[in-house]
Amino acid sequence: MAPQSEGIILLVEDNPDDEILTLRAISKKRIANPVVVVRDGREALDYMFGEGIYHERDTRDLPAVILLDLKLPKVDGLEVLRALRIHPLTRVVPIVVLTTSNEDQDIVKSYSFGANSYVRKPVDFEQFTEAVGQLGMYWLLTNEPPPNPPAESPE
Amino acid sequence: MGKHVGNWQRLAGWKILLVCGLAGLLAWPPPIATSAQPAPYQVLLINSYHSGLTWADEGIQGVRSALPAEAEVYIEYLDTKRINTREYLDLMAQLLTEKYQGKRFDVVVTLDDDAFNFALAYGESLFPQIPVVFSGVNYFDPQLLQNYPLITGVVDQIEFEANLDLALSLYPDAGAIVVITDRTSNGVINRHVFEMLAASGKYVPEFIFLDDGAGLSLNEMLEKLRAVPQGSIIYFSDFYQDGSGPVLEPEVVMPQVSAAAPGPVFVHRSMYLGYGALGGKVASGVSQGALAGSMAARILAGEPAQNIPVQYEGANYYAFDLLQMERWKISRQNLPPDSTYINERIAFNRQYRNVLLGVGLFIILQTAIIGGLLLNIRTRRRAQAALRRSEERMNWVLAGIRDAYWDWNVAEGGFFVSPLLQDMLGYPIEFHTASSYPWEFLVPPAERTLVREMIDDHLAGKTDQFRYESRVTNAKGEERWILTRGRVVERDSSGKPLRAAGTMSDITGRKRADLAMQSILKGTSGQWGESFFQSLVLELTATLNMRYGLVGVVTPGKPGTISTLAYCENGEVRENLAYNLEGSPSGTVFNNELHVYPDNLTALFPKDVGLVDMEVVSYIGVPLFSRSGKPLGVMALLDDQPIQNDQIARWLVSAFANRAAGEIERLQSERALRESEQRWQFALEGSGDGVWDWDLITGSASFSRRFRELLGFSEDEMPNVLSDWSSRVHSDDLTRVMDAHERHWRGETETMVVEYRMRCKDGSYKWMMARGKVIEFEPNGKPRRMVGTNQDITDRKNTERALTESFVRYQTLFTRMSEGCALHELVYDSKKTPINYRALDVNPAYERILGFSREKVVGELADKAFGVSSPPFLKEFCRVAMTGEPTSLDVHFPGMDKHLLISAFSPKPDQFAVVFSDETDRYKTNALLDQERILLRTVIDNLPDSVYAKDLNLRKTLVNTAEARLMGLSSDEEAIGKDDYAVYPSERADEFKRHDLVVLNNGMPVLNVEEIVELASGEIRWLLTSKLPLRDGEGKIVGLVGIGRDITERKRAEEEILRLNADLERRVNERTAELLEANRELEAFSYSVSHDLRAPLRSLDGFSHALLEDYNELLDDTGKDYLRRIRASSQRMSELIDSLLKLSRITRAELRRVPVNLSEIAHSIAADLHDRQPDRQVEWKFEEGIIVEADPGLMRSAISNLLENAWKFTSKHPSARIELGRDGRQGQDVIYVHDDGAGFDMTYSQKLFGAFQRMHTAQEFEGTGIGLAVVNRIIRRHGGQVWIESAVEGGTTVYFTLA
Repeated sequence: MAPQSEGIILLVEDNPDDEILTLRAISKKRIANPVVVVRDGREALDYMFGEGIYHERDTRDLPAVILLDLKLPKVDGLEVLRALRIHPLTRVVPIVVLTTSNEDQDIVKSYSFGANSYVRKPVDFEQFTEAVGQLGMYWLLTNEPPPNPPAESPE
Repeated sequence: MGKHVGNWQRLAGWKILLVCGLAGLLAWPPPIATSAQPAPYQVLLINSYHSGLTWADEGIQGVRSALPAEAEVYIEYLDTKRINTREYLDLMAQLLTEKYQGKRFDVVVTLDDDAFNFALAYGESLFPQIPVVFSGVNYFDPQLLQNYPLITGVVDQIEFEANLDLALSLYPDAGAIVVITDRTSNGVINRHVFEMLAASGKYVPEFIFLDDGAGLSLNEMLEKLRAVPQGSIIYFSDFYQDGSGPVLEPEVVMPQVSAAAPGPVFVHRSMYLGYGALGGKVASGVSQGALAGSMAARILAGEPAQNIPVQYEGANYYAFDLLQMERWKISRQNLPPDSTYINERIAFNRQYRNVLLGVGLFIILQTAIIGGLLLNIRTRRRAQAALRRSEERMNWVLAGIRDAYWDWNVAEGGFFVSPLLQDMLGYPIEFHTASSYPWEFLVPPAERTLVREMIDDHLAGKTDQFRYESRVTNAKGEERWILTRGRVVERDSSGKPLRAAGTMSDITGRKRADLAMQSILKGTSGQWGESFFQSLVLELTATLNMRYGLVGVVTPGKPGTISTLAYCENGEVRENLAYNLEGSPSGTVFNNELHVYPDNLTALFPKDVGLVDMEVVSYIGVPLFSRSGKPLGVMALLDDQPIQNDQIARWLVSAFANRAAGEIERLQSERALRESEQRWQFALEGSGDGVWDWDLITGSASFSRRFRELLGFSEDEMPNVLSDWSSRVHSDDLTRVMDAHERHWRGETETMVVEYRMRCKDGSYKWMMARGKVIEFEPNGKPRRMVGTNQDITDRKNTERALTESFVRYQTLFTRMSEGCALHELVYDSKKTPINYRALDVNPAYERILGFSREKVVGELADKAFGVSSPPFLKEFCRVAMTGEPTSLDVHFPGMDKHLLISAFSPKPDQFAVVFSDETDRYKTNALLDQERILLRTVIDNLPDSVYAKDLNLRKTLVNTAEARLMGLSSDEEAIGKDDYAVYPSERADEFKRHDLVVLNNGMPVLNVEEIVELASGEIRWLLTSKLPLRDGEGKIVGLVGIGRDITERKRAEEEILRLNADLERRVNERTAELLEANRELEAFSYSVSHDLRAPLRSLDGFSHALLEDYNELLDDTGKDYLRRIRASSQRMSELIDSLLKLSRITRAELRRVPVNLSEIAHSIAADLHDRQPDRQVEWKFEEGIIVEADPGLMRSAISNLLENAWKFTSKHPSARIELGRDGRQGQDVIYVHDDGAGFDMTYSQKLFGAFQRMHTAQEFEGTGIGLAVVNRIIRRHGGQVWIESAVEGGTTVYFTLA
């Protein structure tokens, strides 16, 4: 069993600025877990279900947490959230909605689709860094993640 | 179904067992006694026709005669002479299939064509692979054998040519060959054969075909036959069925044909022999059947059917009737040498035959004679003599002349019968002396059980003797009846029979005579009067084969002559005739006794020229006597042939003479009675009166035909009782009628005369004048019988009554009529010019109306009577009196103030009558009514509403001005009589009519319905219409009244409102849609803002921060300051965006009104604020219980903003007071929040409620300037108002209301 602290952070983020700032905040908070960045909803699903360019990936290797933006090209964040929560394989992966909006409808929908947490990205970078740091602390260290599903038996 | 079949099979099995057992018991000789004898041969015999048909019976007889005794024969009759359709035969085949299911026949024998064809058609399913032997098939096609190898049989080859050759050899000079055929298929084929032969040119004589193919009735055929020329020869082909249908037997047809034929009758079937046919080369059913039977027997014996060839010849033989040969003077030498003959013995020994017939008739005649004894002495004498004679003859017969003797050794089994039996039958008799019943061969199998029982009973001593009759066929195929009689002649001491003996007699003659007697009795039974005599002579002549027959009586008034009651010739009734007794054979019979002249009649009675005309040579006659011995007439039979045997004829005519005499007597007395009665009634009824005859003792009455007619009854409809008569007398008249009768009975009147009404059959009454007289009295003087007449006096009575009534009626009318009436005559001057008139009579109404008394005017000249200068209306009345033309006058007499309507007419020249009515009141009333009508009319016409009335046909009967205008008519008169269809388009008129009909049909008013009227100009007017039924004095609906108010303007206003409303609604909908769209856009915008506007700010801030952090050493202080400003601006903008979104969220949020306690909300917010800056000195003064209907979230937001502002703007003061309260000053619920803070200059207060408007710099008080904008929007959304009062350093109060 791989140590949980080494779990992957899957960052779903289409804005390259936000990507840089998020990664900066992660590194500033000395979170050492590897970060995989996918840039739209489709890619996020491909990654999780081992499809498209990720078809060789072992889908049993679940990320420790998914940081999910809502406003995404192709398939938006809520759709991604719903798809992941429907599929048995990904149902249990912790998903944190990390987005700019604080619209009620987004918050309500996110929770009802099974988001584990909803975090609004503050404009103030220091506050942002702080928020990311707290997320990392909580989801990567404090929280006990679900076990990885067992290996599929070869056909 | 299964059960059903099972029953069938069980039943069939049971039957087979039973039949086998009986066969074993009855078979003669008994079957060879081998144990386990298999079932006997099974033979199915299918007969085409029915039992009783001679040909059919003969065939069966023949077949059976040739089959082995142990063969079990099943006979089926197809009965095709009666029904012969395809459907029937199909059903028959089904029936037989069901019936013989599971049975296997050894051979099937068919008789005649139909049965053979049936076997061919259905044999495969009925009896597959079973040999078929046919008999009587007329035309057999040898080709058939290829398909049906198991078939063989005897072809019924009719020897037409042999017979024709024979006939022509006997009669080379024959003028014609008369061919008799029938309508059956057989007959048609035969006729065809004859036609071909006729066409062959081989025969010299002409062929005459009696039947043209349509089918003749027997009588038609006989008639035609009588008409053929003398010297013709007759070829009688079969005649089974005449045109009207029934199957005819030879014994019926042939005697009549023979009698009618002018020459000998040749036949080709033996069954016609003995009934008058000469003979020919004949086929016999028996011989054909026997031949077929022998073929079947060979098959039963094991010979394959294929080996037995079809027989085409051999079944026919020459046979002739010796009696007919004698008749036609034909000797044996001229006939083929191998011919057989019938009637041989009888012809040669005629006397014996007569005796035999006499015996045969004995029993029947005894009955007849005994009947005769009762009738009169004379007949009895004769009958006694006859009885004596017959007894003598019977003894003679029993002496053994004609009977066979038999002698039976009962104990030991020997049996002897004299050879006479063999003579009778024509074939040798074999006896099986071992049998218990050795004589049984004469008994048909079906009757054997009965006969055995009879004999057993006799042997056991239960009867004195035994006797039975049996029918057998002799060697020639003729049917003979044999009577067997016998008794035990010897018994042992224990009574056991040892020996029996008796006779066997040929009783065929007796049987035939028996039949003849029965036939006559049957033919005449139920007949009376003329038809009885006709039947009698027809039956007698037919039975005795005589040409003429008659029953005659003494002609009334001419004692020497006889008039016939019935006269027939050749089987047909002829017109009656009269002849003189003197010199005629009847003269010797009349009032004497039976006479027979067997031959040479004309020589014996040369004076009777009629006999020559009739071509008769023989005669038999019998006198007819009344019961009192008075000679009545004669019954006679005559023939053109000598009588060869008179015995049967003697008996028959004697037997029926009494019956005929009785009938004559009855007829004569009946006629006498009828005649006297007729005479009596004639005399009385000649006047047209009905006659009655009452027996006053018994109450019976007889009414004449005319009497019944008077009442409408037919002859036998009215009961002959007095009570019926009295029941018909009108109840009002009954007492009077009875009184008249009683007075007559008491002798008070010479004749009873009374007028009264009688009820007819149809219930109406007729007036009768009855005259009657008692004509017989009882010894004690009581009246016994009364006769009289009734005369119909209805017409007279009616006239009388009518006259009286009309007089009374007119008198009554004249005096009682309400019209004045007067009769006048004209008065002329000397030049005959009418100058005056005077009243002859006036009635009471005249006096009343005109005020002149009768005394004053009657007889007085008009001018004087009325007191005027000239007679009123003289000219007009003169014209009426002189021309006869009636006239009417409508006149007003101002002087009398009277208005009269006068009719004048002339009852006779120079006179005139006037009838007048006083119309004064009516005129006055009319005037009043006119006034009212005008008033009403004016009102109606001036009504703005249209008013009209319609009749039942919906035509206008009244129309006011408004309505006429509406109808587009210039005057109301034009509208009268028009219906709506004449004025309006039909769809409008339909609508009116619908309402009209509701009123007319239901009698209910139709109130305030809207009707649309389309004017001629096309303009539409709306009417609010009410329609009411219009009733006459009796309440019957005679039309309707309608009132229509023009509501077009109102309607238009309504329509405008409706249109506006609709428009408004449309616009609201549009706005709403626009608003919804705007809301959606706002939503999308806000969403977009929320997500996208902030992201760049984060980049600005984030990367500025990164610069400051990562490149700190490279930046101087100014650069760092700039980056800090960028970051500050970014954060400020982020706050502004959030504020904007907050504001827009208020707009977008759904409003949900519930009671909200503002005081509590204020307390909780105050607590929060206090917690933020606990050290501030603020006095909260909140009015409690401020509860409003509002959205709780929004109200919290509003109160929060207001309190936060108050909190903020009091922050510069060391202590502050913040209030929440209500102010009712302006009549509405105003809520306010007050603080004593910094306040502001009201000059700028207009801007306060816009977003991001601020009264203070950020340095003075922080904030985005959104607070009051939010409050304003919340209050507005609740439909309220918000305003503010403030002064610099004077505090601020924000007021708001909520709708």
